[in-house]
Amino acid sequence: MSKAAIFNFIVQKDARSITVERSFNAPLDPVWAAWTNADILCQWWAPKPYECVIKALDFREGGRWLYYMQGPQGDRHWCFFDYETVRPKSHFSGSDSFCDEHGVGNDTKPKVSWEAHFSKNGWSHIGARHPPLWFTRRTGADRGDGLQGRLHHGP
Amino acid sequence: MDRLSLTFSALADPTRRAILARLSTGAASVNEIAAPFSMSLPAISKHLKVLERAQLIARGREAQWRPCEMKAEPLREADAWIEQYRQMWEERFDRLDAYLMELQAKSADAKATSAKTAKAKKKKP
Repeated sequence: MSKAAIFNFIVQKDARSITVERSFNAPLDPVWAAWTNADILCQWWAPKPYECVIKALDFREGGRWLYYMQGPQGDRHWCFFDYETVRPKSHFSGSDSFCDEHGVGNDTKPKVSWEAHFSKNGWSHIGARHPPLWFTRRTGADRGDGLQGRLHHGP
Repeated sequence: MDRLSLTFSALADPTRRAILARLSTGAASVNEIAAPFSMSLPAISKHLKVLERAQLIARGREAQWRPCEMKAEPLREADAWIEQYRQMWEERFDRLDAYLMELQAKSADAKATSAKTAKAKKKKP
């Protein structure tokens, strides 16, 4: 018997924060592994039609996850995530940044701090804070720029 | 700062949100806007400047009475961005969900197979 998945997306404009909640009809172990094992993480991290290629995943406090998202036209968007706190099977936090293929951060694009929380009954809570800036928007001309490239759906 | 960032920083302040709520009911002068707040006119003007820079409001041109009115376009853009962000997480988690389902189906198969094998073994003398 499968329970319906719950997806919540809570926006607090005043706090400039977004909370995403998702339930999975699965035990905690594989859900946790999906975030911490590069072979699994790369299978789902990129929203379609993007694909994620992980160059390094050092899942520990102070470690870094370096990857890129590749679009159908071959456009690549490099990002890294620096882990700050890690509590196995409970939560982890850190911040992600855009960067080049050597992992050199792009200071003109904002960092996003977020944390992921896990609970035994198949929940992942992701809280993203966006200080001090929000992402730059895509204008017609610079399609594929930054996160908007990753977010691009349809034609 | 890009326009979307301007929109969100402008909205991050409760006074400015209250001003926008007031202006959503119609144009008003600075004095009218300031009336419900225990704040000096220069302080209110500062907030109005932030809103104006974010293009959330526009000021009239008359020198004496410069009514402020609300502009909805930046808010619509902010909402569009949020919607894209929501879609990204939804699709990402749908992919994770599909993976977890597949994993469970595989482990169920493996269990069934090993149960069969165990049964078969038992039958053997």
